[in-house]
Amino acid sequence: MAEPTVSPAEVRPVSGTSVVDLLDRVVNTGVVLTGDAVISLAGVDLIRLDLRLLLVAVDTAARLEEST
Amino acid sequence: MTGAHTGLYVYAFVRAGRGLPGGYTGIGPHPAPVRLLDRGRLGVLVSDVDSERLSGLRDADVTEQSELAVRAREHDQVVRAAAERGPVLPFRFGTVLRDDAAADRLLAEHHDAAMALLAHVDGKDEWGVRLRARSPVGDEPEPDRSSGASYLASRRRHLHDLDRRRGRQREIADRIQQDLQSWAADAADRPDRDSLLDIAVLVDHSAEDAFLRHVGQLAAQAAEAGVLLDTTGPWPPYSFSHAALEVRDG
Repeated sequence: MAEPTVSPAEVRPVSGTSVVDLLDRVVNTGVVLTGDAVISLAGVDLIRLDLRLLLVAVDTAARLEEST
Repeated sequence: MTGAHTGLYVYAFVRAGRGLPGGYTGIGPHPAPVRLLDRGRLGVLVSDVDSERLSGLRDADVTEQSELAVRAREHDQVVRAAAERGPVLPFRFGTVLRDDAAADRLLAEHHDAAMALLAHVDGKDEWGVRLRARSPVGDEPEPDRSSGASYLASRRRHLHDLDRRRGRQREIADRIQQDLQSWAADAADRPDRDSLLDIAVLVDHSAEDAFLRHVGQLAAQAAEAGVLLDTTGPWPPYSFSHAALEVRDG
């Protein structure tokens, strides 16, 4: 699989590699491990991060619209 | 990279024997090689990390240059490289196990569940489809100010039009959602991000061209109702890797 590509011309192109889209996936989805053999990664506050992503996503949507 | 803070970063479940070629390194400012640990028919891609070294993420801002973005791309690159060699089941970003022994228990205790999930995503990619209402900026007609009554009537008409427009947009979003759900191998609603629809669909590699053509047609239909459709992908099956697995100390 190659890097995410912009879709064909007939589909509205979007920044397929945008950091918001990426973080939205790697932070909010995926297999979750629990238990005492799991070390939490120091400093990653995923709940706060999720909130921040939400704000950035809304902002991105607004800018996307302005540019159309 | 030895010391009190060393852990084992886990990227994804893969099938046994589907490791990355030499030269691939993992996450972190001083990345260690990506390794494959096998057990039965199941494997997991890992690399040693110094978890303290990844601790600068706390106040990372969400920009392309932020440390968080750099680390997330490193995570994504390992997952994508693995996806070229067979099905993958990514772990959530930032998952670190104590050591190889813990990873071995993970493989042993969840072997069958992980194999079933790998089979589900085998040969498929994830695509994101998002719908947003184009805001009706500048659509408002100049209200009729000839009298109080006609002013109120024109305002009422405008609000009624907005209502109908929203209703039509909701309708087309529902229709596209049903269409995509019936079309794709699997579909996952994503948390609403202020959009009419944010959905991830799992599409077979062989159906990719047909899928994109189909989405192009949906985009044209949506545009007529003032709805923007955008797609992202292909992605590894991030949105289809949902499981919560327990790993205890041995």
